[in-house]
Amino acid sequence: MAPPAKRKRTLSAPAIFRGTALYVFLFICLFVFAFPLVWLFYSSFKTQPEIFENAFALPKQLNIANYLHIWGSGSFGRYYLNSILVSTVSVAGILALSTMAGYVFARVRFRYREVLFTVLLAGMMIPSQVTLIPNFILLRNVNLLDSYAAMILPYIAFQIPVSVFIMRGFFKELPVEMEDAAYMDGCGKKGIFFRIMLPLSKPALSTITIYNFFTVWNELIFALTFTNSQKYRTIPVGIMDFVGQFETDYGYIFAALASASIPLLIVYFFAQKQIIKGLTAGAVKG
Amino acid sequence: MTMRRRLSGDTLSTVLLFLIPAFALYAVFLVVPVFQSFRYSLFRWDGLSPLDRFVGLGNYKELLGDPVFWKSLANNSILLVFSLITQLPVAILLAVLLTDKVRMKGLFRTMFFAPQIISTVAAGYMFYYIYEPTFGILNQLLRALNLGSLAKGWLGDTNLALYAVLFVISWRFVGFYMVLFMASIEGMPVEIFEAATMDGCGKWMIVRKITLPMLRDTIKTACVLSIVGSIKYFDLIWVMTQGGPAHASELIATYMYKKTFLSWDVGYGSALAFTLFAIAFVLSSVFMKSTKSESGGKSMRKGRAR
Repeated sequence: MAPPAKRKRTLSAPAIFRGTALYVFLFICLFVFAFPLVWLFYSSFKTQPEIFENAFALPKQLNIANYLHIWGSGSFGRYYLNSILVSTVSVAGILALSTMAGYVFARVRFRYREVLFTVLLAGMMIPSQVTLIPNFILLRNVNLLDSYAAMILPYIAFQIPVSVFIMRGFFKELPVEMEDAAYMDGCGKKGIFFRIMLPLSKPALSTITIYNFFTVWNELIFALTFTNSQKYRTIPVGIMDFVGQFETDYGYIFAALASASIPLLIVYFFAQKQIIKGLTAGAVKG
Repeated sequence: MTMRRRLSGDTLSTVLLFLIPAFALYAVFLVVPVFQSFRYSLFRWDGLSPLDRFVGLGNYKELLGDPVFWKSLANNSILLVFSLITQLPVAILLAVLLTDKVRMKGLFRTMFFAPQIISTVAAGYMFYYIYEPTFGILNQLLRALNLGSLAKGWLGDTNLALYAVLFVISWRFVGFYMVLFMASIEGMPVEIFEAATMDGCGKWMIVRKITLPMLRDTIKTACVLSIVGSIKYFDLIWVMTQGGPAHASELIATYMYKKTFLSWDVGYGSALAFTLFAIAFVLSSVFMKSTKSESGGKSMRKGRAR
């Protein structure tokens, strides 16, 4: 029961005040959320004495020595390559397995389909931490500890439930007419999947690619537990080793921290909409 | 309503070929480990020698008398409550503000979401250096503002360490939930808001009577994500404090990791892991149940009947 206030578009004093308060609030939030990132980025171009002299000041010149040093030092580049390799292969595996399973759950009728789907969905409730020890023992028993496969296989397994859920939802929305036509032409179920469904599913594929790429790129606890040599370590664990090694060489560390996110940031500024969709896609299940 | 189709050879081979790879990996790395985790928790085991010292529920009994376990559980609870009362309200507020007429909307949205985009471990170390007692910019900022007495050794102080990390966790996740809520608000029919404005409803009234009730399902989703996420949390605590100082910021997951892979008390670590699973499972199902019965059933299925 609001009072029938006169809603005019003139700016009264309280309205101006409210408007100002709004922007003050938003800019405070902007500072809190963005300043640490901006600070890290410009600090990574400072020399060690500059950092100690004034931690807030902008760099006197764009000094890329820190970056040259860490990228030239061998191990950091190795972590980066490992991360790229592990993320790419994992995402490819997730895409392959979850599109196939998503298609079957959306379009192929058979008994126990819904039961199987529910069983798979239940996996979204299993925290990876719970499986850490058994997976470590398993990988050790089959001699896979400290290898790329030790990360890639569990990564694929853990991303399957949510990815299948997204793909199934997408396939269900596609019109059935085209399939029927292909059916008439004697196309089998597999043919329909590869020739009709897959080419149509680009939007969903990009969503799960982004979601899974970010998840895998950031994954820490499996990478930490299932690898122990520099040869296989990915960026998250590599950064921990790196910081332990350079502890007070702030310039190097800042450059390393900034480098760790650069691929993610670049993708973000080019494909913001898709990323937001992709990263929140995992939340669609209520 | 549907034509009953017999299970043809084509259907059968497609089902098998398309499902077996996914289910095989799923079974091997998710399902079996949950049971294994429980089995290991019934043994005293160093992870290497034969699994033969069966102790029944001995590890769980020990757990109940372990002050570090209770400390971890308390910290997980603090994390849960802190996440729910900071991340979600701030996220809703920002989502409401940014879906209204605001200048530079794109800039704000991009920057509020940015913490979600950067590498988790990098974010952890960034704040580790921001919190650093002597050179860290937080203390320098406080000193510059003549508030030097507030300057603290943030991560080294048993009273502050947990909260210092909790701030970073919220810092990272507010943008995520904000975007989730924004998507939900932008999906609401414009007519309702127009009608309400015509009827002379103020902004605050609209938010309270229309936006919030319509956000209900999204808020529920966010709560579940936040609850489960808080119970299994590991990453930033491990990077910034490793559960220290003196277990002040210990979580169940970090304690489990230490017990298993630093002390090689694998049976006990498994008991911790399985307890974590049980808590996450019970809490999220209780929460789902309680909110579901309230709203009277499945809104999820709507429009997907094809």
